[in-house]
Amino acid sequence: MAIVHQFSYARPSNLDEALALMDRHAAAAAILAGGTDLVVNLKEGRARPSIVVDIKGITELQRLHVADGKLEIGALATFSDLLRAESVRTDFPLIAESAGTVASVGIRNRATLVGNLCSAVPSLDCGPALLVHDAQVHVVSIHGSRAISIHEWFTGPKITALQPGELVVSVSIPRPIKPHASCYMKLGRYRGEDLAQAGIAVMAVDGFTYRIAHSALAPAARRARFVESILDGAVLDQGVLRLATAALAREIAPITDMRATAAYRRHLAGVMLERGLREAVRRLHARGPVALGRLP
Amino acid sequence: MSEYRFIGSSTPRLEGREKVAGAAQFVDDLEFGPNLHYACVVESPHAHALIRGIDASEAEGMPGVVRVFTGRRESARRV
Amino acid sequence: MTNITFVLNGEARTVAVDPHDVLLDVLRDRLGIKSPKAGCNRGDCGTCTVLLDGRSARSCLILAVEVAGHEITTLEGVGAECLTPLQESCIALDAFQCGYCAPGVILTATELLRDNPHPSEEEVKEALAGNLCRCTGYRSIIDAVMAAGGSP
Repeated sequence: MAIVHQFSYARPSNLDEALALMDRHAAAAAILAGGTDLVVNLKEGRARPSIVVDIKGITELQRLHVADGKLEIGALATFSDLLRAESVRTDFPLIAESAGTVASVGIRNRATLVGNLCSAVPSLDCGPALLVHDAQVHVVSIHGSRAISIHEWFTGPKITALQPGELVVSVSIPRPIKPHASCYMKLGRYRGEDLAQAGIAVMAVDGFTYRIAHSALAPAARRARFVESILDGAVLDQGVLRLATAALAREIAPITDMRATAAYRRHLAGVMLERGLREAVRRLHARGPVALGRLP
Repeated sequence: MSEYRFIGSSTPRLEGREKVAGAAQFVDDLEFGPNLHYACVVESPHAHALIRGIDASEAEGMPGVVRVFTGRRESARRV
Repeated sequence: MTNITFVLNGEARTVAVDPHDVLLDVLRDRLGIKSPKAGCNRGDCGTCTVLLDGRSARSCLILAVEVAGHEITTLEGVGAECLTPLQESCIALDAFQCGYCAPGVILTATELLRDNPHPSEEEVKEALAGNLCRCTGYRSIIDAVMAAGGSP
């Protein structure tokens, strides 16, 4: 299937060159990293840029390292890069666990976490993990740089706080100081290319505090602060879990679409929250390796 | 029990080798050269409607269009 | 149009492309490489899989200009001299019926077996989750990959 729309192509070799191009073309420029969203959008006529700026020649965007207790994920780091990185698997297992649920190997080898963030579909798998980690999105333009809290990043379905002319260079993810464990639950119809019908990330932090975030259950991925406040300081027993699932049902706004009905999403969100909480607590107390991958 | 040659045993696929080597040809893999034409079916936008007439003049005037086939014209040609 | 050069199945090739040309179409229509197939055209089915610098990627989601200076391997370039153990086990265990998914499946499994020579069944399933087969129901494909990985 050919792309009908015509555009020019640039492959800047450094950040300044890229930012100058983006300043000149503003909203008419499309950024190309892995291309797994952009090329589909070009084919289906949803993206009609006058120029495609391929950032894969900018080596500084490839960074993926841990410094000062923070994981920094450059704009060119793919989901496969995250899964292969020992530091991510051991110190940020929730990031690896959610990366492993994204599409399939052939997509993960090209698709970047930052690209996923910029597409900002409500069902994005990396969203809940970044939200419970209080990640920061680092953006630059010819006018300077700024950091955007992940909590202010998603402003609607496929809409973010990124302005025309701005480029995301990296995402930084602080590691909580207290002992903690987490888990990502993804509800999908089948393995492989399916998007999440619902996604919930849970982090249990030593001292009975819990961080919870969801995707595909509202116009944008977000933290479930009301649920968190109910769980704060609590030992998880039947009564508390019942209160928490009831709170979640009030906090989310699922829709009916081709993947699931709103009622189904609402029901399963409660089931996933309960299982996710139990699993995160189990992992917190069970020292040793955490199994990655999908949970039953 | 008599011994059968084929019944009850697996037979290796004759074209198995081509298929695992990427050499098997499917219809879309055949080359017809530069004179291959492409056709597109245009349907009535209204279900269960009567076709009173087809004005293909605009389509026929477009660059690269070789011919427009309609049911009336083709059946007239055959008779 | 600009000329791009890349290594295709071990051989340097130069081809003139427009920015909007998709790698899959350039391989099939201009370079005569027919093993990558057009399926869903949006990255879901895996029939257009190629190895890009050794890693499986969807050629329907890559602009041809992106691969300048890179290395592309298609099924034509795998076992060209002599079939690999994976290809042999695919024949022996009758992994494919119509064979349309075979190029994508074999390239994806080739990447898996290179990184992980003795995968578990779960790892094989995870690796092949993005390659759709509508004939054999996957059982024989998984068996063939497991057999090539040394598991009966």
